[in-house]
Amino acid sequence: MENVAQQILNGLTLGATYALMALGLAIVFSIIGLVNFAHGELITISAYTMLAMRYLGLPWVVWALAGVLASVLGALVMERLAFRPVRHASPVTMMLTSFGVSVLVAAAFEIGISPRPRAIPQPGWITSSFSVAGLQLRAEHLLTFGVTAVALLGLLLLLRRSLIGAAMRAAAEDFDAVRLMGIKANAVIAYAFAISGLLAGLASVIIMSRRGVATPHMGLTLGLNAFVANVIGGMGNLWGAVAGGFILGFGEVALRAWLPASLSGLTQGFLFLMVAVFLLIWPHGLFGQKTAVRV
Amino acid sequence: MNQIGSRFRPALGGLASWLVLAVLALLYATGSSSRDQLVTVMLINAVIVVGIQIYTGNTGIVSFGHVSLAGIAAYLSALLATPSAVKMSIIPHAPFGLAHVEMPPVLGILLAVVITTAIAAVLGLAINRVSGLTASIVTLAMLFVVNAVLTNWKDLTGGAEAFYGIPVVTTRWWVLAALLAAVLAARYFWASRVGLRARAGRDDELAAASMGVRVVRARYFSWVVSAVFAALGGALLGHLLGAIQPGTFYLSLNFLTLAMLVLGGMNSITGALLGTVVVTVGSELARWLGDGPRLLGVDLPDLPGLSLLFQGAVILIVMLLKPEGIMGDRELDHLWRRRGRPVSEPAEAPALPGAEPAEAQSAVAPGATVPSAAQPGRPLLAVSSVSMHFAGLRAVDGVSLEVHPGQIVGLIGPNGAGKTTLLNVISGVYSPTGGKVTLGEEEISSLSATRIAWRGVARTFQNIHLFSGLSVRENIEVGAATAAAHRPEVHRAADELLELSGLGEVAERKASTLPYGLQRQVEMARAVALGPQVLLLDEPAAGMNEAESEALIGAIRAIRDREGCAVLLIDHDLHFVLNLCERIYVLDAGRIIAAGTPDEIQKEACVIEAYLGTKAGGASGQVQVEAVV
Repeated sequence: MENVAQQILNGLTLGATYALMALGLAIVFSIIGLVNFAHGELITISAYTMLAMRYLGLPWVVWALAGVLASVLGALVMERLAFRPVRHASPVTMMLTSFGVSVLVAAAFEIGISPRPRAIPQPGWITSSFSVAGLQLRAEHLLTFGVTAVALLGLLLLLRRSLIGAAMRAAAEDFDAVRLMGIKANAVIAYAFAISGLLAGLASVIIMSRRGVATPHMGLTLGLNAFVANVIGGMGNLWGAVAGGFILGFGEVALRAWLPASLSGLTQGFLFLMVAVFLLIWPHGLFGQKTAVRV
Repeated sequence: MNQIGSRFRPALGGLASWLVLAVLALLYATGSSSRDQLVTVMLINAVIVVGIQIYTGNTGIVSFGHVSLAGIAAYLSALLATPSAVKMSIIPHAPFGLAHVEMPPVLGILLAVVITTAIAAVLGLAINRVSGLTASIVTLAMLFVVNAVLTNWKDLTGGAEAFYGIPVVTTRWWVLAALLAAVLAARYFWASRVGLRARAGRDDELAAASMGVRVVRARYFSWVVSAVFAALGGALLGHLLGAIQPGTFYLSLNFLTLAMLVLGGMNSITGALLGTVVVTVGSELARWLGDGPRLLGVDLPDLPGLSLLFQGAVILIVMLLKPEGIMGDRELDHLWRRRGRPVSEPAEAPALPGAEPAEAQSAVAPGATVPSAAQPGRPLLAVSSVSMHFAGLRAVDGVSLEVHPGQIVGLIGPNGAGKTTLLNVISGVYSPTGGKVTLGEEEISSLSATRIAWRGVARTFQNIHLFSGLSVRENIEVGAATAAAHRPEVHRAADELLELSGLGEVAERKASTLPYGLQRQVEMARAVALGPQVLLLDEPAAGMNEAESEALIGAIRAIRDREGCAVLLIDHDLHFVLNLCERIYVLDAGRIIAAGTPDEIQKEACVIEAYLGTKAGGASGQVQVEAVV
């Protein structure tokens, strides 16, 4: 029983990280229809910024803040330089553009830093643990829950209570109508990218505090879970993405607990296989709409 | 275009582009063994890229998964053909007694291609259910999963370490032969009926379904055919390198092949070859620079990721400047074809279809049964108490109407009355919340749009849905192919249909390049190509001036007379509807509020005025044009 509770805790932690990444992807997709393959690279950018802070000898809190900031800036720069010119192009063109950005960023870190992994030491307190009602609660769990809860609530408030949030929700429905209301498209899109960068940066801080190493190509692998979470939830549905993230997190933890050790390397493989079966039954995901074209 | 010429054109065109590449490759590869190796690897990459092109070009779905198919085939062939002495040291515990199998490499390669294609055929069932960007994500997931399996199934693959000792038998000649096969297969698939259907689905999934195309199935066939060549390339690569590891068929090969495909143009097979050459040359240069060469007396620094940087830059620059790639959707053989024929630009407002055919009509088909006006007897199409509700909105609310054979029926009503929704229900885009639709004896309301099209219900769309990347001829062929497969008695060749519709002049033009009026004509001709029993037209006169809509009346009557079909149409132009239709239904807020002959409807002028807000008569055409466009 305690073991199950512990696994649920682990599933929540992992799912929260996936949810943060998936949500950032979904916000951008819902507004401009871009599947951003370079989303994972925001995590890489953030991680290497933390690495730079480490070399400067600054405390961990500064690493974290700088990492988040770098991810936000990275998202804004990508939008301005790469995605704005193709905003009206076909979805495939936009996706391939982001793929090109992803490859470029990874190559830049490979050339500029090193193809080898670089260590980003975990802060000492992250592994400190205490037990509550028989559960091993680690600081890492608290950090993840705290950050995710604040981010989700903040986003909810922003979307519901602010003008720009309302504009973003409206833009997801019908962008042209929003522009006719006198809202600047560039502003709405920039906000969307900034939020997606913020969420990726927060995810990066959590992931790095757990993982401890940065490599130039980790972005695509990490981003993949966010894509799959979106597919599960239905592309472009924000809360679907969050749900998809948690489903993936729980699935991964459950598989890891039940699969024999010899098959542990195939955890993700089995997980995605299950997603494939799920797609056979629900090709549009949990909350996705059947092709919403107007005829 | 003569029959033999068109049958062999893909072969000749494919042969030509292959020959250019082969000659270039042979000219370059006459020196050192490293040059030879570079050329052979490039040719193998070309096989894989052409394989990806068969899928991506025809379906519009960017695939990241083909590289992993190449990997599966390479490992299978290695497992089958590597000497068992070597295997006993790498994978002593291989399942299925594979450690003791030792086949001739040729057999190993062929078997590997067959098994890989079978695996792809199973995976494709899930992948091709989803469309567009979601499908791309799923193929990316597939890449990761296959890599994880190859890395972790250590008993079978030896894990992340190299699988060595694979017989090195791949020669440049084998690869050239494989490439020729790939190019020819790609060209013929492109021109085939399945290829045509896949491309129709690529350009417009909804319209394809409404033209009787099973899009998922066409995508699936593209996937399986393309898997053959990805697998062939992978197996050949294994037998060239002699040692492979899971990483050989992972991200870097994916970036490389994608850059090649994108640069040349995803919709061109010549482009796939061209992109392969250019990206290979560029990547080699970048690699040479990155190795820190001594240039002009200066030792350059080591830059290990430079060729990757180049590939990323290629993808990004192509997308920003010319997303369709160097070749677009052209092939090498199109270059000399273009030169031979002067391209005649048709006038902006061309003669409408039927203006001529209408006059020729009586001579062409005197025997056609043309029942006139409203008539008693069984209706051809019956809509009975149909409702369509969307989350509380009753778009259509208990509508009943009948269309008799050969009858032209109009459906009018204010914006939002539910006219288009009703058309969507009849054509199967939506299945009704209540009530039923019957065609002849058969209830069709539970059928998909595709199957309703098979039964001869054709339609056009309010906001034109053409297959934009297809030529006018191909647009029409999609309909003709459906007729040939499901109602052979009404099938006609595309040439005949082009002539009937008066579109022969623009037959080879891409649909998206035509002016608005012509696009509407093409859409109607495409619907007629289905050999319809019932033709559904959604605002055919939208955007037309009075003279044009007058001509359209003749054209629609001519089609009705020629095809013997019934017509159900929606329009806002009252003048047009009153002059054309034999029976008219007035729809408001989802309900029929009046029905009758044009005379009867005109007498109910109060209804018209109340719901259309315009006076019935000549001037309404102009007013409505503004309202609709």
